[in-house]
Amino acid sequence: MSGETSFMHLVRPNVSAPAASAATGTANIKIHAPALFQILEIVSKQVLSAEKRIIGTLVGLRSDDGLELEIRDAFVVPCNETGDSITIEDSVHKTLFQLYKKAHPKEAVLGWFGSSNQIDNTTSLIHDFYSKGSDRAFPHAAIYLNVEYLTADNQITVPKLSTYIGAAVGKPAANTQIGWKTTTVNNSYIFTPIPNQVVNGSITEKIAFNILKEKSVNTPSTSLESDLSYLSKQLQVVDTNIDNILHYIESKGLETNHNSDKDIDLLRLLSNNLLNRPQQLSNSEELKNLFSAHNQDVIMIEYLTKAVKDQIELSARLTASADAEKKV
Amino acid sequence: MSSKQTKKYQAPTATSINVESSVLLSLIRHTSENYPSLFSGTLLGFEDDEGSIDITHVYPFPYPDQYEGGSFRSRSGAKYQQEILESLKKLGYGVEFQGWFQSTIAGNFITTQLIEGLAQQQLINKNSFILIHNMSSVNKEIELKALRLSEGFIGAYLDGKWKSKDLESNKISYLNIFTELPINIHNQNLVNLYLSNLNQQQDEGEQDEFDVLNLSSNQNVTAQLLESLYSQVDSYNYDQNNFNYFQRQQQKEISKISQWKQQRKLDNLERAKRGDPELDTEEWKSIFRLPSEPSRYNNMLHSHAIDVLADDILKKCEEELTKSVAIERKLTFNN
Repeated sequence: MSGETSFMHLVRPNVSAPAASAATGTANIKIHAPALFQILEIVSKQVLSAEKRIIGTLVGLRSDDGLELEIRDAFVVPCNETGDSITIEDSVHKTLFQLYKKAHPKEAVLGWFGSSNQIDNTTSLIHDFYSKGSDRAFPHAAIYLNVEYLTADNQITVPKLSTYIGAAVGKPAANTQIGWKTTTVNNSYIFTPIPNQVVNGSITEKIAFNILKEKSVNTPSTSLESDLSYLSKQLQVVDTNIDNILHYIESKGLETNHNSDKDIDLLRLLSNNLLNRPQQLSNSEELKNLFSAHNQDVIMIEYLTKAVKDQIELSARLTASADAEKKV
Repeated sequence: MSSKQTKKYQAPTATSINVESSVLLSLIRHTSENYPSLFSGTLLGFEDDEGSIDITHVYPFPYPDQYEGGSFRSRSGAKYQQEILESLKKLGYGVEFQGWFQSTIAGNFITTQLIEGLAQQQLINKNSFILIHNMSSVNKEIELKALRLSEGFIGAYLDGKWKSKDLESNKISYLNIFTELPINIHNQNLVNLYLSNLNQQQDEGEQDEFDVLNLSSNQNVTAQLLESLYSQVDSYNYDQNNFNYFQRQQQKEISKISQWKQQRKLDNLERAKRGDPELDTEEWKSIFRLPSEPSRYNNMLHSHAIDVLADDILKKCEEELTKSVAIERKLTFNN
């Protein structure tokens, strides 16, 4: 993942994407881990041959200003490349998207993904397909996610993700031939790189992702037994954070000139947090009472639940033995 | 009984479930994002030769479930499932329908609809199963279980009477309605490559999540669990009343019969003295009729639900006590 600062944000609105953000703000793409894994799975099924291209549709959410994009899912769309032209199976794209849309009504087509090593003429052709027409990114600008997993001499390497926003430039060339159809295509696109990051939504997902990251690599199969590794890892992070702050404060104490605004803000934040603690914390007696009341409540619930559980078991056993007696 | 149920049931051959990592993440995302709404969906994949089922695709049903198992037998759910399968087949994927997933809270998933749907599916495909995502500790840990109705349960289901002796002959009780299958997570090679690379460049772009460290107890969940427990106990009692009524009736009849037998014995002794032929001692069978036992089906389902709920509540209580005692020590010791 590249640092965000290394990007120059140039988003060019154009006629083919009238709703593209007018502001030249920074666009950012969030790739949800499930979608990324799906893409990687699709790509890894690709036959290693130069002619066969694997592409697919990216679906997800787009913020109101069109600058925050969330890739939430992806599916493959078959295409055939012959020489300079390409045919994309529109019907597959449509049916799969419509089916997906039923379960995720808020999501839309964002763009497409591929796995080539370079941006070429065909990239523009595919991008043109995704930029126009219904059920595609139109009226927004389509995005293009590339998973580069082959080196120049066809060796498999760590997949590298790059994302682009494509904007048409120049006058559309008239009557270009795509497959059997003759239509107007604009195959001059400028692909502007935009930053992306891989994210996990809910905490449960993060825990799952952590299990995958820690345990599943290079083992044929992993069981889904959760342990406390995630918890302890987070605790360590908190620990180091506190250490860092302490260290910072101590090092500042040695300096003579220590009333910069930043330091004062930090101190204010820390002391505010201390002041915010509830009054009861300083009343030891009351605190003890509250805790013991709470613990007794919990124990009561535990006891009653256990009683219910045992009752159920007893009842089942009694029924079974009553039945056995009858036979005698 | 319908013709479907006379079908010969075969014992399942697949003994474990392999889940593709993307499926795991998609499933967990969908269920936990939509929590507290309950969702279910289709699991697609194939059976491999080594006795396990590989799940490669997951598709949630379009609408949330009113109750667990609601979408399995609904027309819209089945249609959606079919459409997905057809379009994937067109793409050249050799996938088949293997089972469902269902998000739930503790033991609430044990509904007649879910059992019925799963039983019918297991009669069609012996290896079908269901993935249960227990949401009772959502955002704390992942509780995913692959379940299948046990062979004994299907046997009793095919008998369809659910009398105590049927349960006994099929060797089932509320504790073994389901058999659990081990779940394995499988990564594609590129995913492996990506993950191992992530491990190397650690801490870059990693998001920390301190919410898991939050010590305050989620009382909502405990309250919800307890409420579910009440309602299950209520339904259980309702069913148990019927059964108790039956037991009393049976007791009454049995005592009547033994009285009658006693009487007949005495009569026969009298007659023997007088030299008359003995009367039939088995005649009571035509005079008295024992009440028929009500079905134990609901009793079993409720019992199992209560058992699972109780286990979850006990787990929550234990966690709570540990936390509470630890915090108490820390706070009161310092002051």
